[in-house]
Amino acid sequence: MLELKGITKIFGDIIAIQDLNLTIQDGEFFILLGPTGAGKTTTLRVTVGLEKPENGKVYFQGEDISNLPPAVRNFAFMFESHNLYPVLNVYDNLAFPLRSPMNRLPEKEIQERINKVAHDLHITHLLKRKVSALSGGEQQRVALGRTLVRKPNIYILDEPISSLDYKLREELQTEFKRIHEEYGITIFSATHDNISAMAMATRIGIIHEGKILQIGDPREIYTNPLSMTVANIIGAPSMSFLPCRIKKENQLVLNFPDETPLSVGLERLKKIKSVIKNEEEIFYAGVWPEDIQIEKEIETTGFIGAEVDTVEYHGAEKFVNISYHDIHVKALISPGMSYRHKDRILFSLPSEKIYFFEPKQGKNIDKLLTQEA
Amino acid sequence: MGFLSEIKVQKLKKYYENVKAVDGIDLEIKNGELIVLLGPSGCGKTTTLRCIAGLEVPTEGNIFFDDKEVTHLTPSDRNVGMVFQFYALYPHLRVRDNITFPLRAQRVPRSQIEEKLKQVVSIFQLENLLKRKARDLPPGDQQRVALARAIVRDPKVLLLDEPLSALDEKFREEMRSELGSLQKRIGITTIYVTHDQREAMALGDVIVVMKEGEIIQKGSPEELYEHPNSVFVGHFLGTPGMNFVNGQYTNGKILIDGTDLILPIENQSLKEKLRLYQEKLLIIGIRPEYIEIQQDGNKEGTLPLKVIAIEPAGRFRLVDFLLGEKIIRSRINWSFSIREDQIIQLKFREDKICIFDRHTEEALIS
Amino acid sequence: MNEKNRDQYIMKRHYGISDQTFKLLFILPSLFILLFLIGYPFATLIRSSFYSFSVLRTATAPKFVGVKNYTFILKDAFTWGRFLFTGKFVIINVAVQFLLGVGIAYLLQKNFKGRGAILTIILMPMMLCPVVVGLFWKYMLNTDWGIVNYILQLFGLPKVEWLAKEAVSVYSVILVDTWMWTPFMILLALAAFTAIPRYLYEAAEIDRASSWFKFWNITIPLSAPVLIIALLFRLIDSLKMFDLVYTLTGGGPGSATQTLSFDLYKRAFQYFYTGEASAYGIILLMVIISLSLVFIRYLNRLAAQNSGR
Repeated sequence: MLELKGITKIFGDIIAIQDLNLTIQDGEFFILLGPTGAGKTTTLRVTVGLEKPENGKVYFQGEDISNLPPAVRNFAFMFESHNLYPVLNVYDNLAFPLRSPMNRLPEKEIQERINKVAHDLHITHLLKRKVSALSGGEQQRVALGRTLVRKPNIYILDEPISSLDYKLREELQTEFKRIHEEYGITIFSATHDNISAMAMATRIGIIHEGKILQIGDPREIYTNPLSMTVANIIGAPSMSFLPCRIKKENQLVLNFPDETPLSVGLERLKKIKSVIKNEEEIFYAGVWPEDIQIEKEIETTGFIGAEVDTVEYHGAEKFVNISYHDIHVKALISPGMSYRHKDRILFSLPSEKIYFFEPKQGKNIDKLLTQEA
Repeated sequence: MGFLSEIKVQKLKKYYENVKAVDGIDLEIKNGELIVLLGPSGCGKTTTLRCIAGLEVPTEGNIFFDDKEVTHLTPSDRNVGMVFQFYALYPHLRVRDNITFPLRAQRVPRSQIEEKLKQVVSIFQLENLLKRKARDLPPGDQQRVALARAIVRDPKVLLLDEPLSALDEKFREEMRSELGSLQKRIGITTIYVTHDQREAMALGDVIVVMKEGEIIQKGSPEELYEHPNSVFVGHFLGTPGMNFVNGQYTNGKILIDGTDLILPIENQSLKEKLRLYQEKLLIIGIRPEYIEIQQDGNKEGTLPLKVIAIEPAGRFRLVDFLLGEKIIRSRINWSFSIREDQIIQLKFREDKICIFDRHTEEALIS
Repeated sequence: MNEKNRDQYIMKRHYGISDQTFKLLFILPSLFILLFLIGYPFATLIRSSFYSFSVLRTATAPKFVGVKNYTFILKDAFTWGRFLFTGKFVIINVAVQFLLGVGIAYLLQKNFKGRGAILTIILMPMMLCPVVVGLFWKYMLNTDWGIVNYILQLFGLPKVEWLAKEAVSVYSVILVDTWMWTPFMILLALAAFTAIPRYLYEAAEIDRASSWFKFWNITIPLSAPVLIIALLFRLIDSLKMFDLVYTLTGGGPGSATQTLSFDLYKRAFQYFYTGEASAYGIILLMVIISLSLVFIRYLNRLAAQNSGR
């Protein structure tokens, strides 16, 4: 079990990560997900021992390892730029960590381990080749292999596949997952790619501006995002947000001249009112694209009229970007529907699918504990 | 905006010392269209774009802007706007000087420059960035400035060379929507080069898939997606790509290589077409979203396959099944409960099955 | 973490030599050499500057005179004359080399047949030893039998008293120094030019910019940092100019080509006014240090700009 407690790391006058707490159980595939600059690489480097935090401690299996140098911690680290030794061939690259005097492994065992890993990663035919002669995907696999041969306590991978082109990424995603399950190892990884994070991780930690916003399994975070920021980071594509407010007589309406009402249950309205004290205070309704309902022409009550900006074809899915007043709403439509720029369109938000977010920190109102309000 | 009614590219070839970068390309681009040149790296898409821009001189072939031949004209004489992969902003100049550079280079009078600058700045919302140095801007802003610079002098056509490749995943989605919206609003003919098929399908009115200097297929995104003319196109488009298995057709059934699984075909028109290819070596293709779970317990026309892996993907899950020795990917939504190693009856939508010749990899039925 | 690693880790600490100490041990020898070869002489120099004495006349004891040496030099009209002369020399010298260097580098940017050969030939003067250069140019520029005048005469032009006439001698020194050091300027300018990404020029082409517009708005601004560094280098070097003057003109005719460094040499090793020369040396050093500070401040600003991206 790996624990990070209260880690703060500052570079100059930039606070990279602040009071970060994380627990990773053995055998998990934990992925830190967040935009560039959120503090992911810093967190990984502190865990491995390449950076010393200003504050906080790192524990492994209950022991305080905060002051130990990287070599002693025995974590494998895969850099974003994989850092293979260019003059050596694949075999020697894989053997390098095993030949270090700290390990003292007999050459026969080294060979056995390399052969197994090479077989699992489908790179056995590349063993004699020079690293510089390999393609990007092959290099990535060798880099991964170099971490796997070592039998470290934890595998720490920094953006292991995001620099590859999309098709290759898809392939390696599945392989990573398979290797994780087969070898039963603990993986602590970081990426900005929400799609691969959701595909591979057993648990995801959403990180933003140096703080962890939510931890949970992919489905959990998707269905119950704790804030607008979290929804933005995990969504593919993102949630649409519409401003709304509570009018007199407990009516919840969208904050536009036509004041379209949204129906919410009494319990929920009570909860919202306990957070949004002011009548005229604007907060946000968020909906996933697949939850927005679309009608073409028939004016049905409860549907809002707007204009089509563009249509995005994604093969298996189609999205329509809707212009409503000055905001954009993205909705999933069936591939059979066709719209053009400036067409009229009607959409509605089913109440049970709407998330509500308060304006100050963008937090999910339904998830706020009453004392936080 | 300076309009063109048509760009024509005829038999374009560009050969370098030992490489045929572009080997016979024909294109017709209509006014206001956004056409995407899509393909893996090295397929010749950027070279084609550069020939249209005038940065490369073709070895053979002609390029016409509205019936006027421009094949050997310099970029200066063609009046095109271009956004390079790394934006190519003049790093030492401020945003405003970057945008006005093309106007100053042509000695446009001061008042006109200010006028154009105002127009363009409001389209891209760059008011707050005008005084900043280009090299200090984050990539997203740099891209907007590059676009502003490209269109400030009303070019006839906008050329974009992988404009989003340097951006973060999430950011790319945003910028892509903005680009699409912008192009439709301004209405300028646009040629867009990318290797990312998602971008291509989301933005393009027409997609031209290229490989090794040649055009493999061109058409609307739907056409290429639903009716690929080759295994290459079927595999390249789609997230994830099409599934392929080897098989043969005999007497109303498809036999799948490497297994004793038989897929009986009910659809009459498909049967008719398949009859032409009896006993031939085939590749059967089906997209992940057209593989469905048989709900009513009826085992007719379905295959029992084992679940190998489940990948959550937000709205749905990608579930991998074992078919013989191959892995088949399918899209399943969350309403079904599925476990690994479970055997599930799967139905393949017969109207969406594509058949390819195993030898040429070209589509026979699509 | 396994037992084996932990043991090794503990062992290291027991040896008692920490990483810090180890680093220090490596540096110590070089530090000593530095102190001995530079520190000690420098300290002696400063001390000498406050005394009036001569290393030749060992019989007379050095007399402590305070800052008298300094005030003498700074009030001396001759010194100021040399100062002005050196200034004028430096400015013209550096300007010529700069313009020539940038111009030639611009022409050499494009790859053409024989470019490699031409580049090598152009760079050769810089690789020669300054004393040798001074000596053979002295012969070439000899009024009566030098080859330069010979060629001039072949074209029907009159002989020029390159090194014998006061008015001309300065320019001769500039000529030789330019011949020798312009290649340096060319090299740096060329490096700066080729570092500019090609796609910027392509963008400018698309933007319909003329060659001159491109040069003025892209080439020069983007190579400015390197060009300025080259400029400062040559400036400081020219200020210290000694070897060429010594071999070419010996400071003459008369004192026409005496630079500050040469004047210092005279006082120290011809007249042996050791105390005075020490003060002179210190003053010169101050001038050069202040110029170098400009240099360093500029470099620091550049570095900050580049890292703050």
